[in-house]
Amino acid sequence: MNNELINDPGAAIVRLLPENASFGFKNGFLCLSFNGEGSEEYNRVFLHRVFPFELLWEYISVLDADNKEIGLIYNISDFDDRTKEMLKKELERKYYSPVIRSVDSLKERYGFSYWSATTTEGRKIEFTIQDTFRHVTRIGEDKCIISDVDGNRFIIESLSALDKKSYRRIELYL
Amino acid sequence: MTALCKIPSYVYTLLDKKGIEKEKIYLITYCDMNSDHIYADSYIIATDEKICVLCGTDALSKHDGIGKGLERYFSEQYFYEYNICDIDSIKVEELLSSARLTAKTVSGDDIFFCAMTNFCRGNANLFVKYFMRIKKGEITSSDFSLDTEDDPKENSCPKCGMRYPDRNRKVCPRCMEKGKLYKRFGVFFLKYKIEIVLLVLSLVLITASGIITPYLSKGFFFDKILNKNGSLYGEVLVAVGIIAATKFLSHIADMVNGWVTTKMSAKIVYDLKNTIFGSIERLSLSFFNGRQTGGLMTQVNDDSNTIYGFFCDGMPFFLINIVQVIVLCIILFTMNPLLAALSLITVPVFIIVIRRTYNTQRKLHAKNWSGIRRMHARLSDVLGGIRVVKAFSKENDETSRFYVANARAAKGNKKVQLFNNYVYPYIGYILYCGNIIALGVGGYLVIKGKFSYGELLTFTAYVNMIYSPMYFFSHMVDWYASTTNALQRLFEIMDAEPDITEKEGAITPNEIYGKIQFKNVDFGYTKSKKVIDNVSFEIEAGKILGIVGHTGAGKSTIANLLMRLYDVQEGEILIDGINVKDLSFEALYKNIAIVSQETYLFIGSILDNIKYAKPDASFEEVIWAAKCAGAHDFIVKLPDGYNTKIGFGAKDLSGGERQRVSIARAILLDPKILILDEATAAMDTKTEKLIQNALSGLTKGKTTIMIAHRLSTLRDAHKLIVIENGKVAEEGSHKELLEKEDGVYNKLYTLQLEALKNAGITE
Repeated sequence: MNNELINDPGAAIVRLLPENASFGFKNGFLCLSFNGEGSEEYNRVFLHRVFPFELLWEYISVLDADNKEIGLIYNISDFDDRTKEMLKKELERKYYSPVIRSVDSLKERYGFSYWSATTTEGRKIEFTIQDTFRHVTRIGEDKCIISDVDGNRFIIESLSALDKKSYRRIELYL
Repeated sequence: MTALCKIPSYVYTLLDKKGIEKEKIYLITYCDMNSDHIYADSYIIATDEKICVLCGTDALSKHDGIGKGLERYFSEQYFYEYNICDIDSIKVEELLSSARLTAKTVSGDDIFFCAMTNFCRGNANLFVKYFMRIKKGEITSSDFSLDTEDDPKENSCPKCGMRYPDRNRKVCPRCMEKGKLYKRFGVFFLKYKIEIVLLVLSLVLITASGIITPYLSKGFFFDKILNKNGSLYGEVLVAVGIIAATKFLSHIADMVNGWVTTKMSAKIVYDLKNTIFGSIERLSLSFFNGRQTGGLMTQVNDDSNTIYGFFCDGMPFFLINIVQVIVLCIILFTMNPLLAALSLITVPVFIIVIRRTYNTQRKLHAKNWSGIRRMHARLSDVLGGIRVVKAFSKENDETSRFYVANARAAKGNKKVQLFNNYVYPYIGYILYCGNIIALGVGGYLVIKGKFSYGELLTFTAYVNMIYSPMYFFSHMVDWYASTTNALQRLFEIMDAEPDITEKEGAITPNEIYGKIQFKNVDFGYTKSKKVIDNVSFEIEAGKILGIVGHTGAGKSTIANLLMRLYDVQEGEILIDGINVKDLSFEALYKNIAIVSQETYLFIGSILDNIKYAKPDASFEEVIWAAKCAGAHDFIVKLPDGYNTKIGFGAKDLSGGERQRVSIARAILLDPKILILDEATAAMDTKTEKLIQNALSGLTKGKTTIMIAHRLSTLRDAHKLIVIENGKVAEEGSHKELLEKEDGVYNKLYTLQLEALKNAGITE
């Protein structure tokens, strides 16, 4: 696509760079001082991954409290190490989902499946899934996301790295 | 004090030390992360003066000395307390798999209390809800109790304490009384008494003839007819006659069975589908919001088939098989107890093998089914969007994508077939082992003269017959489980109470004039999120009200509430001074019509669709309504005119044409209150103008609510309200609102005017 289209004022992408954006933490919340066409202070900003399954640290949309986009971070590495860490921390917090290391038991009963699993942190977790086929989603060839009745998300980073027993338990739903 | 979950006693002890006595706490809850989003034990405490956050980890104490055991204690990370008067509001901010409990102070600062996984979010939402209600003075802290639907006790099984997997479906899979389900459903079958009796009788006859035939053709024929010492030696014709008669009787029974089953199955499936569909239809709109239409369709279809299959195919065979096994065992043991015991030794082995292979088979079948389902989904997706595929020349890509899905489905199918080919010969062999034992030991007994040849043949035939019921029983367990599930879903729908019900003694006024009042109305599709927040406005009968606002501001919700598709959570809506909850459904639906942006036309003719709300309308009325809606001109150009079939597999109308038909449908009803929810948004400017002109004549004498994006369409409105984030931001006439220089309406209007000018359109 040519640059003229990208720079069309109606659809122009505001790129956030160290020159126009300075992030910080205030009362535990991410804040931003932005020097775009005008300068503006945002007490709270929210980060959203634009391609959450593919690019974890690139194309991060920065929204204000009214969910309006202030701009887009193309890559968090555009920023200095301190800011990069800050952004990384905020993104990790927002997109936190327990990563499953092994599926210890899986029982199906009347339309629900009851799971016990161990996370990579070593925590034993138990959760329930309704309509299991719909809530176990494969991302690419080797990754899988599981959503339970409470809206929690669990991730299996590598299906091929799962132990044989765990894999056999969930194989049916993949 | 209300604790939203179990709080350990040492937490209260610790709080007491910090000056927060247990008696002063009115609400407490637990979150499982700290403010750094690290797993921890956080407690949020509300008293009349303060809101506190205590965070730390629950741990076992170190050994305090010899003789003392380990004790649980709380390793504190942080403790904050805030005066209630300094806090403006608290809220739960949803992230992806987690959430944050935050507060806003009166001075506008944000405070981060703690984070939590979604396991704790429900309770945190409740905490926020009641804290804010008490803070606003809606209820008092001293005597409040949780609403029934919020009570955690209501969300878990009273018997075993397990939380219901689905809060909206209060069913504990562990404690569900399955017997009751079947008993209740059995009553449903009572009206088919004669058919059931015929069915059982025919099955008894089939089984009896099945049992007697081996004896007649083997034991009886060899020992009594062909054996010189037999009592009926030489009477071959008699024997053949008896065998033929038995077979004939068995075939007659088979025919009766087939006839009754076919007749009954059609009736029962018809009744079941009607019952399920009728139960679904009477439920309120909120029931459908949480479910997929496809899921409901599958439910109506699959559940009725499962239930029918179990009761009509499964149950009679189950009873017959039980009888058959008992009778066969009696016969076998009477003939020769030792031989019977030895031959049946393979039965337990057979059952174990069947159960084991069944689990694998079930998994393979499920996988195969899932592959086929995915392939179908891909197929319908591509065929549905074939125009896009062609437009972007993506035929090759789509073909290879289909190949992948197809290969997967084929692989699943191959696995099932291979498994069957490997396993069934083994199972057959186990069966044969029983036979071999019977033949070996029996043959020895025949040589010894302790058993006749005919008896041996009969015996082995009976041994073979016992395996078929065993096979049936091993599958019955799973059949029973899936039927229980289907029955439970059926009763869940049949028992569900619609949220919106007509009040007893509801009023149907002789005439509705159309004065509408909204008084402090609050509403949200989910309890935690308000879509309409304290909205009040009034519109006189026969006037036009315009509603303006951004997408998602809550404009359409106002229309839904007025039609009573949902009930308000707070406040009231009055039509001619009568609360809509006191009006009968007839009064509401006959006097309010809605034309929305999402038009839905049913399968049928254009005429049927226009007459949908008023089936007794005359042809002239239909033409008049279509003319008013600007639909007549395009309809008459169609070869079949008003009889043109539309919908699935028939004539496809364009978006604008569909819209005009749906407007005609609303016009024909001639309602007192007309809601136009972005009704002309999908049309070009010329058509829109045409319809606007038609509508302006039509809206005379009717209270009209116009919801529109294009502000120019609202200029004729007597009054306008601007909705922002569920609240009325501005109110007044077009002229009044334009005069407010900083007003939202003024800004929107100027923006749209400029956009039109840029596009070269002047108003």
